[in-house]
Amino acid sequence: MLSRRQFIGLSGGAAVTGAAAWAGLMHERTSSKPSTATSSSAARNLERVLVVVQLSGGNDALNTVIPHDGRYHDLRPTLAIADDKLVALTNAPTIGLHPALQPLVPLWDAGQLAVLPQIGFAADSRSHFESLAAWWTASPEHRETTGWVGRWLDATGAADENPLAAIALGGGAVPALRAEHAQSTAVNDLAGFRLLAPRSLDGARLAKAFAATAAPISSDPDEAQAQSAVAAATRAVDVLSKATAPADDGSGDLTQGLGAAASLIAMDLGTRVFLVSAAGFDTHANQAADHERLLGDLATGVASFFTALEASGHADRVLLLTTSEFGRRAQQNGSDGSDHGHGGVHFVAGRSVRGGLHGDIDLGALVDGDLPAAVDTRSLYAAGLDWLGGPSAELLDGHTDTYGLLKV
Amino acid sequence: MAATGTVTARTAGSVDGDRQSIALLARRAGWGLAPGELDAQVAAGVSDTIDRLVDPDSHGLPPAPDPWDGLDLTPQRPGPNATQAEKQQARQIERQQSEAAIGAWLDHLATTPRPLEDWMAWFWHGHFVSGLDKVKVPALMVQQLRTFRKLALAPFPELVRAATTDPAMLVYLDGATSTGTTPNENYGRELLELFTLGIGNYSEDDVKAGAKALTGWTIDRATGESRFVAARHDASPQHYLGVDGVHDLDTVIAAVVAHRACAPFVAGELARTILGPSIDDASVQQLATTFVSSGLDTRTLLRAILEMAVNGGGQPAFVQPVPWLVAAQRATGSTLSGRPRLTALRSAGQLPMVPPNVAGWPLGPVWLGASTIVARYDLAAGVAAATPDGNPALAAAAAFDVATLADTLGHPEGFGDATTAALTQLKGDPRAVLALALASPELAQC
Repeated sequence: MLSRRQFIGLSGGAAVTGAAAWAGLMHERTSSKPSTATSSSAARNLERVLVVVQLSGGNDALNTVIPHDGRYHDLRPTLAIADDKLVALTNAPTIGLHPALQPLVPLWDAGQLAVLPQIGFAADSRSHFESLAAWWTASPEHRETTGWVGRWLDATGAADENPLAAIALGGGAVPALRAEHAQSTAVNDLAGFRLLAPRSLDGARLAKAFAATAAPISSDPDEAQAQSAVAAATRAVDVLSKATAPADDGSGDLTQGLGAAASLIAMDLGTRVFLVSAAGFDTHANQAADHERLLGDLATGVASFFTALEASGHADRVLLLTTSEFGRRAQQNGSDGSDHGHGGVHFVAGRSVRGGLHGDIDLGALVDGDLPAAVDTRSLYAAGLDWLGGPSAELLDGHTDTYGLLKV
Repeated sequence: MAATGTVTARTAGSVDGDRQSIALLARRAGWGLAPGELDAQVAAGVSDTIDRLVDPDSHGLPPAPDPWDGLDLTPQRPGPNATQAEKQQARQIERQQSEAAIGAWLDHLATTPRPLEDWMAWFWHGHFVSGLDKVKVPALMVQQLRTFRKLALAPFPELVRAATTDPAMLVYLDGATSTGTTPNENYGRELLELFTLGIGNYSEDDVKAGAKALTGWTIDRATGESRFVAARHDASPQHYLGVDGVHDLDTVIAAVVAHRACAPFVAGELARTILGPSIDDASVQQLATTFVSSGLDTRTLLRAILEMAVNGGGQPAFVQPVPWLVAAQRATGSTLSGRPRLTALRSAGQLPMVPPNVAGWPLGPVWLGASTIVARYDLAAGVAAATPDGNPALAAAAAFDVATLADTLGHPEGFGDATTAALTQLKGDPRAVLALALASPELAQC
């Protein structure tokens, strides 16, 4: 078994191979006018897009989608949300949403939001890093070293001509993109993603020379890997610096990241997968205010993301799903927070989603004080990969979308 | 990633071999080389250099100054009746304090004559992790870093003990709010998983038992210091890591450091950081044996790792943004500072005092990600623009002496063909040459 540092060390950057992979994209970008974000331009290149939203730290499922159950209040003496504060969902009388999730209601009412309680891996660990590794690789037994998205990129060749086929925004879930061959692009902060030089230097000349350090490729493999990274980065800057970064208006990381994703989807860069991450869900203490803010960021981000896609005419192309390494203990702790648990609750959104509540939350069936993982994470991933055109089962150890999340 | 063998075959005793070995030490377990340092250390020899790093007192080096001396880090505590404006002002002041504190440490790292102590403080900062995102109060983070600087080379059990009761840690991993009646498992878990033993060497029951035994340690709100409050403590004896009767800080620490997994775990973390993430298990086991026989003495372990490094044990490694930037400033004397420096470091993915999560910063090719590459370019341009006239690296760039330029920047192995050709495009513009050298793929490795 890999140690944590080995795992993270290995998994950070997707294998950087073949700067030439950029050639196709660059040719296209320079030989055609940049597409503009209008609904008419969306008529072409209608490949589907998957957006994965990672809630790093382990989102507290039980205070996200809340069962109408007296035991909930016993387990959460100071953290419970009062029944009359819960957001009611049509046709789902057994549950309510955390009040901060109000912005998701229009998606629910339109039948475009699926709520999946008690999801995870049967053998989930309560360690962040063990669980993250399982979620990233979709392989709780550590049989796989690549990420579940990276394996799809390798299998389909989706990134062969375009390292922007998969873009990670925010940093937290990049290992899901780790591949044997496929290259992907990690951008921590779109607004700051620019080659900048002080005025006293000739910036254009310096940038050109910088790109030139990438070739000819060295015979030393580590040197070559660093050179390929320079090639990939300089070319990613060429393309992505044309994107409109969301204004730094104090909105949360997910709202910012999803805003950036919406603008990149409208640019038609051939991106098939976005990973958008935010940290802070590890709410061991004084959880209420933090969790409210984080869920508000999630709901606002998702709602405004789909609003932007409706406006740009790309909403039909996009499926969004959430991930997080685990849910939290049903019984709150003494710090007005919650410790690491097991089953999580996840959302899938999009026009092609079979909306509604899939499954239930049974506080009478806790395992070691946790909500169990009634459905395997790979069912959720299978829906995501099916959306992209598959394959799914062969990349997910035979698992399929048992929910039937996609409208046929 | 490709783990392709040792960094460079070195010829023991040869001048070139010694030069490369000493430069490797400065890159892997230090903060680079100021002008003249490499020549002086080569003249003194590899073994003297290691000894001076590991035991600066014996070489008559005076203690390094406190990096934060003179900074006003007074905690801002708006009362319960504070107005929005007052709260906002307090947040603003704390932000300024954070920026000043991070900047002061970076400046110090670029100049300290005792680099290994701060390098180890940096290592412990990434090992016993706390971060401003949750701790909020810059004074507490600085206090923790002062502790790590003071104990930089102390025996490991002292570090575990200090970290466990450190005020910033009590906030970051919630010990401060953990009580005997309702213990919080956060610290108890990470103590075993990330700080001392590693996953697979303890049970969920150990996590719970440790959390109980460590209750009672909290923070005095008036002074910001940690203190033990017996009324909050569960003193009942626990079965912990196979030991009976564990019931408090001392017995928890004793059980942890006596565990057979502790030495291999800590030695492995430090060895992977210095020697490279692909270091083999046999080398780690050898280091762990040395570490155990020394009674978990950090100085002994470090010396063994550094000796391994100069004897061909170094594996390929990609440099992290902070050590790379500090080495660039040390070599150039660049005055780059302030918010532009911190903003670019954040984009690069590594801002001191703001680790990404409780596991600290990763090692490996993650540092070849597009954001990091681009931010390193921005920083390299900023460093070059703020390099004072007369600096030897800038002079080498002006003379277009590429070999000397690489050597001055701590890479006596020189630049490859691609970088040399790219530098030639900029000949006649010394600051651009310097910027490109700093941003080159060669300097992405360490």
